[in-house]
Amino acid sequence: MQRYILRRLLLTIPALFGVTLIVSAMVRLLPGDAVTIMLGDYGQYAKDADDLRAKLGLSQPFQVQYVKWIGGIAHGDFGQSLRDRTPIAHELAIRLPVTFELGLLGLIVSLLIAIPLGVYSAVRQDTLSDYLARSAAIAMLAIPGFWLAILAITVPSIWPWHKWTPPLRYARLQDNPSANLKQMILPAIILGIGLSGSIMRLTRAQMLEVLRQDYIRTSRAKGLGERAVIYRHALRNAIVPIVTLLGLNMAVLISGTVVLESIFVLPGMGRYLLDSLNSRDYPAVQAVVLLFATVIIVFNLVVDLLYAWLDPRIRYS
Amino acid sequence: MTTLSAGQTPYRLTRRAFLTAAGVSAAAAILAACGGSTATDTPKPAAGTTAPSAAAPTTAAPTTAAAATASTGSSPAAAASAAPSAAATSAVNAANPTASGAAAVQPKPGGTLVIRWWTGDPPDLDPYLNVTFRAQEFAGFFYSRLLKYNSGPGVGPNSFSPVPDLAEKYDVSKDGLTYTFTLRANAKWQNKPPMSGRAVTADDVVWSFNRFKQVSPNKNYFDIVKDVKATDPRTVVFTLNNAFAPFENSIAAPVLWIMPKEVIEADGDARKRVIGSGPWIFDKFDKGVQVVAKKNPDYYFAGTPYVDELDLLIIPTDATAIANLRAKQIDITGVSQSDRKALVASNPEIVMTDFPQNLLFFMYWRVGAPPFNDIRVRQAVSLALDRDELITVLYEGKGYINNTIPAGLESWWLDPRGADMGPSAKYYKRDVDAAKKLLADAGFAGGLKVPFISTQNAYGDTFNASIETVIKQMKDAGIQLNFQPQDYAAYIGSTFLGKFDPGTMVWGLETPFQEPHDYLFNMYHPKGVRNHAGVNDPKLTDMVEKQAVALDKGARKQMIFDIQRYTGEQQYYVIGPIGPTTIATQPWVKNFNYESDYARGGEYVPKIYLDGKK
Repeated sequence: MQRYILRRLLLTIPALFGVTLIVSAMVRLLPGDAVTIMLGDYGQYAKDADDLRAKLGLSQPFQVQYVKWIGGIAHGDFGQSLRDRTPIAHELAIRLPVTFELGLLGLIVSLLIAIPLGVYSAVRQDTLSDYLARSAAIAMLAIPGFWLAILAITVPSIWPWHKWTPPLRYARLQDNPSANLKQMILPAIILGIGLSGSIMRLTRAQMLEVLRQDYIRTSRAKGLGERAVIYRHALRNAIVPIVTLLGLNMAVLISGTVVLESIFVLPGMGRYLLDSLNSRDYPAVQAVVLLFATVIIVFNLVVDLLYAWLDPRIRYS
Repeated sequence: MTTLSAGQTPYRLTRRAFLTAAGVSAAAAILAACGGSTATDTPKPAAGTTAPSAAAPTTAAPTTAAAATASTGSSPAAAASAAPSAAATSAVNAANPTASGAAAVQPKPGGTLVIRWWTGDPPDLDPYLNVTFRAQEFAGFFYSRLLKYNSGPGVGPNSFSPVPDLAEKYDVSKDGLTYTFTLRANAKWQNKPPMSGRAVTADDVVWSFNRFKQVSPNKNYFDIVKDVKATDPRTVVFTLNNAFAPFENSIAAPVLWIMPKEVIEADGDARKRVIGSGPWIFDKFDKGVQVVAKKNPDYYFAGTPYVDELDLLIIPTDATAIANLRAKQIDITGVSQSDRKALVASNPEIVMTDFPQNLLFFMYWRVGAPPFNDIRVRQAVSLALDRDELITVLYEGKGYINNTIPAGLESWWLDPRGADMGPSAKYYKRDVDAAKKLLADAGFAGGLKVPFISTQNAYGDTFNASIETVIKQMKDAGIQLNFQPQDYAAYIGSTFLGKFDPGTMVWGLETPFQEPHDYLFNMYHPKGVRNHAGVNDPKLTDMVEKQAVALDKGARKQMIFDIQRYTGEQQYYVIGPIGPTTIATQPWVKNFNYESDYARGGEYVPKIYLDGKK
């Protein structure tokens, strides 16, 4: 197991290297650069623009910029933002907990919705409840998160009896847990709803398959209670593919935070990435993407390791 | 011939910035001075000030405020006018709803004013190192300038009328070459180390000017200035290379902030410590959330700011801001025209302030290359453009017909459909038959097919909708546009700078300047940095240069009207209409007299007070 983990961790290095190389190159293919954006209408002064590019290191060849940046990463230095010369690591340290919390809460919400609904739908196959649950899953898949978010913000604000909106000023969890959760809960629910559609459908499908297995019949035949049959025997065997889906959904989860952070005014990584992209802040974009890629890879590694815990037949060697 | 510098372009808002901020940050409402504030409000210029504009009081006489209200009504629905000509001005007056009854009201100090000011973070806290609009808006709260733009009841949001700020008075030599500014005796830096409340001196002004010339990407802005000297601790003298009529405006523009020398010498820049001499003391900047400021108790305009604290929220999406406005969590925000309609229906208590944007939608090309080197083709395009339909489609029927000078600059704008416009007026009314005839006369009887460039990822939905409408309108007149959308960064770095294939039509937005010279010189002078069309008309060049040195405002205004008549005939650019910008305020926000420049945080915001906020 340890060798397996070590091997997987070592394999993340070339993966992350590849991601940063591709992103670094692609972000530079976008028209314009940070200087174009910073100078805006002043960009006609070519010399000033060139001077600024030289000062920011943008006049160096791509490979030189990349090697310098990756060298800094190796030393734990994410570099400085091209916009205001602030350390990117400082920005990440402030913003990562926001996105992490939102993503985690969204994940929890999605599981709280999807697993029970999927199990219930499978157990009540082809009943009205099943149809309703499946329709709900389709709706959760089809409704865009940003639309739901705008609706969730707007509708309470026009309620005639009590107008309400989520708090606007972000409070850190450690500073004010109550205020933090008040601000986080709505986007987390919307994020969770977006994720839960696919999880619910897969849960239902897996449960239907498992519930037809002989060992389930045997369990019932020997007098085991239905709850134990469903949750101890059926669900545990159905859940491995669901855990896989969770790993794959990590990218969806992250992209969902980008939009929701803007709508709910959360100072997280998603907004930082958007702002950085719009201002062609290459080092910041690269740093955020590197972080996101790391999270996705590590999460998928954890998922793989969970297989062994969930299904003792799986052994890594 | 007077030599003008290419860089001599007073500060401007970028088009993108204006649109994004228009609703939003524009929200920065401000308020003001009801008549009762006169005693504690902006001091009037000291006697002896020779500059005409300096003599203008910063607060209107009570009768003026009352008249503005009486003549236009203060209800939100009355705020905007669809009538393009004279109505533009009345709409501006209507933009001061709080002027109603302001004359007799005593401002109530205290409270926290919450404004949705930005859609994104200020990119830099040092306004000399980043010239984009958010950085300048940030500076407007904390730093002073020698002059600022007037604001108050009866003053239009786009009046851009310079009045004393850090300078208590200024004198202009008869030849227009020397400007002598006398600083206020009570002007002090905010009481934070290392400035610690010391007096603001003429040396600070000179030091700031020199730093600006060294580090600002906009350093060419003051090429007109030959020399700046401090002749005593309170007197600073600017000597120009040649007379320049808009120079007061250049000084009032949000460009030459008086910066804290000791801080920058110690830290290298003004990013770590924000200490100015302006109305607000910087408290904190939570990235992606808010900027918080406290009132400066030592501000030289004693008694202001009225509110104790400012909460400037950074909210990326309009829907969030509107919902929070409805929920009374925000006092002021800009709103789109579609949101405005819904808000008026759902929340009639919210006050809407409308005013024309000083912004140009415009069609351009290279006038030196066919087919646009033929005046008949350019005139045909103008005749094909249905400005009224654009106003209907884009602005719910409320808008203004821009001339070469936008309607937003009301005192310099000549109504292009008015009698004073002369024969050129016909080019601002749609006439498809006349357009087709002109095209036929120019050799395009079978119609004209040209590439068409615009950008769709910068200026927002309204502009994007205008693209589709313009394509349809041109088609009606036999002009087939082959649309080639361009990413904003590519557009601004090439097409906007005049780098595109001759024979191509471009639909874009011109930067909202605060001085007519900026439109005229930049767009029509061979040395203009926004001469997108490559205009090089000796007669027009001479007209533009002469107005720039005309120190008599009345005479200059007539020169600028002549230019608008001439360019109306030439149609070097075909100028589209524009709609209003709307700022929504809660009913308890009083003395709100909007001013649309980037420095408004130090102009009308300190004059706002709250009455009845829970």
